[in-house]
Amino acid sequence: MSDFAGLRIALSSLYAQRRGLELAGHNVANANTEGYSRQRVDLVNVGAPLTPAFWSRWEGDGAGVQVSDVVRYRDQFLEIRASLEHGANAHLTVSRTVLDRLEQLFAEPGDLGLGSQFGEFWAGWDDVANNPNSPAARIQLMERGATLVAGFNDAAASITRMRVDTISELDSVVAEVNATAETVAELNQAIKTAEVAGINANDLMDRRDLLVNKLADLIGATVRTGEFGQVNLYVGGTPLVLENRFESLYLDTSAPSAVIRWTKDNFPASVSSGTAGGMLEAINTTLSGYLADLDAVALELRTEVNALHSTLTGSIAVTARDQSAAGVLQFDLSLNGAAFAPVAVAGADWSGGGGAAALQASMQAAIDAAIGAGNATVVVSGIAGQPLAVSVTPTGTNAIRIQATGANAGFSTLLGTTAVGTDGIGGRRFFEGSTAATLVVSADIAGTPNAIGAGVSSGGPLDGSRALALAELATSSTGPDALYRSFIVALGVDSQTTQRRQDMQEIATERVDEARDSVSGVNIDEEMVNMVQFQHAYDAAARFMSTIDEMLDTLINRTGVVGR
Amino acid sequence: MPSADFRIAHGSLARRSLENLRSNLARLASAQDEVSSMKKLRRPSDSPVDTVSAMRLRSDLGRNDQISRNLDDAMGWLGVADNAMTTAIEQLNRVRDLTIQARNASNDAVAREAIATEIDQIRETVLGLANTQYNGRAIFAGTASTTAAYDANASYIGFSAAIERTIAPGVRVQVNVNGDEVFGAGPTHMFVYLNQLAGAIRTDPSQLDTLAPDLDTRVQTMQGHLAEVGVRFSRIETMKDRNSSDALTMKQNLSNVEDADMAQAIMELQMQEVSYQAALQATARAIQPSLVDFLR
Repeated sequence: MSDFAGLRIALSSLYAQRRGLELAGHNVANANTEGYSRQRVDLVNVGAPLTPAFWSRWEGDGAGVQVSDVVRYRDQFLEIRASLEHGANAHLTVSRTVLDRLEQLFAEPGDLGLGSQFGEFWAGWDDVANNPNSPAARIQLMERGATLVAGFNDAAASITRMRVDTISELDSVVAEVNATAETVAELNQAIKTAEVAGINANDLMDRRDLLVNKLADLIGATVRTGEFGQVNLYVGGTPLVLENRFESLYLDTSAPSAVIRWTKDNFPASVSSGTAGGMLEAINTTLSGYLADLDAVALELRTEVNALHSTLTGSIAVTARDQSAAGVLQFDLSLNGAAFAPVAVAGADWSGGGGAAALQASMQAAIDAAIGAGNATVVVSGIAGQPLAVSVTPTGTNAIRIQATGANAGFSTLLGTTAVGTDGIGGRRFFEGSTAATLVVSADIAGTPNAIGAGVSSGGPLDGSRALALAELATSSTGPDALYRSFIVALGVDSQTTQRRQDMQEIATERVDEARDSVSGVNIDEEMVNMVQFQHAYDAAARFMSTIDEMLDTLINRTGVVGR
Repeated sequence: MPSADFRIAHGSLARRSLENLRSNLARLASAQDEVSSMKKLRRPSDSPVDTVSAMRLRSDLGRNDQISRNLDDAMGWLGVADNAMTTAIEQLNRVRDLTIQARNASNDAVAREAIATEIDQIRETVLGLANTQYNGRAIFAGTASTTAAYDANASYIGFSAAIERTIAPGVRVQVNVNGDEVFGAGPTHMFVYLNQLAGAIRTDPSQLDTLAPDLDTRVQTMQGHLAEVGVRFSRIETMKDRNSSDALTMKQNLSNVEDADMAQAIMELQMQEVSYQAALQATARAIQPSLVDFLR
């Protein structure tokens, strides 16, 4: 054994302890670095050679210490769990935000929501019923109708805008996913090169794992460990990053619903987690679903109001079924805004069992002759001894208006329960449009308050009975109000459930982050202890070296000087 | 919470403290919002069930408000009709007295002329009453758009129909009486009859024997309608009381559902304040020390 072996041992210790001290410093320096995993040195003692040779036998006890590895503290199973939890949390956070904004949009319960505009609208009908001759009441009703319609239009426009905004956000999320996946693939390559060359790639891995976490947040990418410290990422089971290769994605909005597709084969990627998953759900399910529900409320409003306001109906009392003495019963019809054409039905005795069919046939023929066949359907029903129920239904989107012919009683006799304006014209629709976005007060009514059908054709000039019936829609259990309320409740339940789920997911995510921190995070106390430990070892190694030095000094300078 | 052998990293400690502070602050903000808005129900997700109650109550309250206006209007109609008919009946009772007076054989032509003139005047008064208006509409003219029920020639020009008001959800009541039912229409109505009566008194009092009993039938008919109006009026008064007590109940219920219990809300706010301060203090303590402070 060499005389200088002690110096080598001291030197190896100095190197090793300094390395340990430096790592403690590195850890402390990165205590607040996001994604940093603490590192420590693995020290091994340098012992005798494993295979002793004849002339070079090892006679010492050990040859010091060496750094075998620098270990990065990271639990791969926790990483996989964390990516799942983070993905789910990002998804729910997006859902929660979207529902929150929808709730704010409808401002219920309150004085500003559609609910109270509904109330005002129905109350407006009551005012018209109380004062059918008051232009003020009619104008007020018209304005309230316009306000209600504007409420629907604005809500629909806001939902559509939210959807468009979410699509453009999702587009940038997909771009970010592509850029991040590319960087992960590059880092994988660098890590592999370093690992193969035996260089410490811990800090590269930290940088890469940070990006992997980001991908879990963005698109719910799941992690599998590859060889040479590389990782593979999957989206819905399809690889996003395989070692140093990556696949890019793009957002396809050509169809009504948005789809994220793989660039290589245009197959749809199954994205159900992460911010992208949440946004896809918002675009394709939540926002379009609530818009469709709002459309249903608007359609119900239009249908219910128009049914009372524009339907041409009549009810002929039992005592009035014999009209043989009435002569010709006349009224005028106008198809789709054309000039009024006279309709003449010869009065007959419709008291018998065949009366309904006879009246239906003669009215149908008279109407076909006036406005052309196929434009309206007449239905008359009622057995002998019952009133006759008469209705004229326009075909398809046809609009048919009706008025009396001079003083002839045909209109009030045959179609006496048709709502008419103060000008005596009936059949006008109050609302037009079949979606929340397109609902309007019809051009027939807007600007013409006298066109509002407050009364019916058989009820006299100042009749308000139809307005009364319309006002009562306010309390209908199947009317638009009730439908709107159930719409708001569905939104509330949805939002509440999502809030609770997100709260729970938030806790699960925090827990897994804590567990991860518990493995990888830097504890300053611990590093201080390490520092003290390595410093002492360093001091001791230095002391050992000076001891050997003194020993050698004694041997070299003080021996063989006897008698000098 | 982490178990005993759980390793705590300083970064994680700071993060958790921040997270706790954040959630504490969020609760504080929510408590503050509740106190300042005085509402505990601010959005549907606060409580979907209460939301539906609140929306229904709001809509019912709006309806109640409108119905209260309908009731006022109905009381106006019926009150005016009641007045007009009461006065008309008084006048007709006077006609009966005058008729009895005229049948007295001792009356000479001058005296009968005076009686006939008074009946003519009463006829004008009753005609005026029959054309009574409320809110610009002739109350005995049905749904006609005219401003009178009987024209200058005292012929009925109304359009007899029921005018109804909604006085409770789904409940309607007729608020008008048609002139032709009260005063009659056609050749035998009240005003023709009064003319005949005056004419008979002037020229041939013997006709009064056949004419006079008819007056009682007419007055009885009017009294029947008057009673009907009175019944409806009192029904509406009852409904009005009920409507306003309903409104109170609904407001109370709405307040129970929507409004914050202030005592509780303020207590909650103070508790959240205390808890936030405690969290701040705990955080300040927890993140300060490390071994660094104690090593030299």
